[in-house]
Amino acid sequence: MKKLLLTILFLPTLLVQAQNPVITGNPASYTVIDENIEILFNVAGATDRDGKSLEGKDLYIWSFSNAGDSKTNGEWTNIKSSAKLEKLSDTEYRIKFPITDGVNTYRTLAELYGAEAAPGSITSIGYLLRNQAGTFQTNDLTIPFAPFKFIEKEVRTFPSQATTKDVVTFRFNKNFPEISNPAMIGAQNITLHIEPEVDALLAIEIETRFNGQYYEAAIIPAQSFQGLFDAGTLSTLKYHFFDTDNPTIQSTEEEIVLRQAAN
Amino acid sequence: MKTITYSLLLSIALIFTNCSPDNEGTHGTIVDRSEQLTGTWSIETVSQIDLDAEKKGFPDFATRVDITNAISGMPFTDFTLQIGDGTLSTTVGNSPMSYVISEGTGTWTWNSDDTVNLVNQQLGINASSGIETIINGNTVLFLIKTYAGITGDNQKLSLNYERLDASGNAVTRYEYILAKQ
Repeated sequence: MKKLLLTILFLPTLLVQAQNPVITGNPASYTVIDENIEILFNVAGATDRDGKSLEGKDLYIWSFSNAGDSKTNGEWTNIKSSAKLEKLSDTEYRIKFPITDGVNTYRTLAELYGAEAAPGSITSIGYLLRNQAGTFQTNDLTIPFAPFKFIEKEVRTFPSQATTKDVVTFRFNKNFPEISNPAMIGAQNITLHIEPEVDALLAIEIETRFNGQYYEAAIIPAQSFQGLFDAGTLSTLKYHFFDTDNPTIQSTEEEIVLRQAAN
Repeated sequence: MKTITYSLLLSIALIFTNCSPDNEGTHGTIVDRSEQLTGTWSIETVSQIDLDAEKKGFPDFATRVDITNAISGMPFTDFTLQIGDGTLSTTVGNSPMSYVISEGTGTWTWNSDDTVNLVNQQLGINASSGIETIINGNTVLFLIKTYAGITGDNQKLSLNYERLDASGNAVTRYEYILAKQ
């Protein structure tokens, strides 16, 4: 008898258990600064929080992040038309970037949440689907996205993007797990070789120093290759590292494409 | 004459070495910022910030590097900035600052109020004021980002410079810490 009563009591709750839309992306993985992405909502079998089907209805997205609310939200009682999902079928809806909202255009999720200056600050994005009047809505749900990830490499430059007039630091990571030439691990002294793509005869070599993490050396391209800089032909630099005591032992070779400085 | 406009963000921080009472003025005292800026400032340290890495929240070693002595034979510490009463001059020496600012002399003026009330503005935050000068024909705008007075014993001046690429995108920021001589 007790079980029967409990079943009767909780039956309405079970009946209105909301089914959530399924989100996918195009491309499948995207970050908050990727442009031209699509976020697809499959609402087959999905319901609002009262258990009513979302299929075929005009749906709007109300979304928010830890960095700020979506610029297409507007007021709860007056949601913007730019928040309306594009209906591809009765069960498939999507958001497609760029999103136009009056005179404003948001190319990325970061711009949509006002975090374009610090997109790395976005750690979570939530949303709900609703109708224009706000008379029904889903529960709060999550929009997934790929976090920014620093990918270690055997050789790299700092900064990742530089102009001809910047200090450019060239780094070699002897502890890189997939090092191209294991013989480099035994090198006691390591030299940096840099050559302009347009004239290998202008190559320079600099002894590196170990900073506790990387073997590194720095140049200012406009100073090291002043002739090319003055001629306006300084662009791509190829570089590798080698064992100072045995120059035939070398790291992988990479290149950096330098930008022209405006100031 | 070709004019190059440098955008330089200048912030001034007062380093308090102890908690003793401030003798520089009483409540409501108006402090002359020009007087406080006057003197010779030398670069102490330089940090280079990868703006793309900073945006993405990458780890510190992938975002910021101390480049004060990164270039052999070209220490940033060679650079000095001499600020006088309406006059200004720079000495580049062997520092790489020649790729940022010219060596030469000029005059300067505040481009907004040159006074700040220490009490009412809690050691003064004035994001819009700055000084403007011309050095060897190049217009240089120093913007005071934050102003906290420079009346202590260990006076520091922070000057930020953003490198723009040909499309006008800021790609790198340099943060120079200058100490008063």
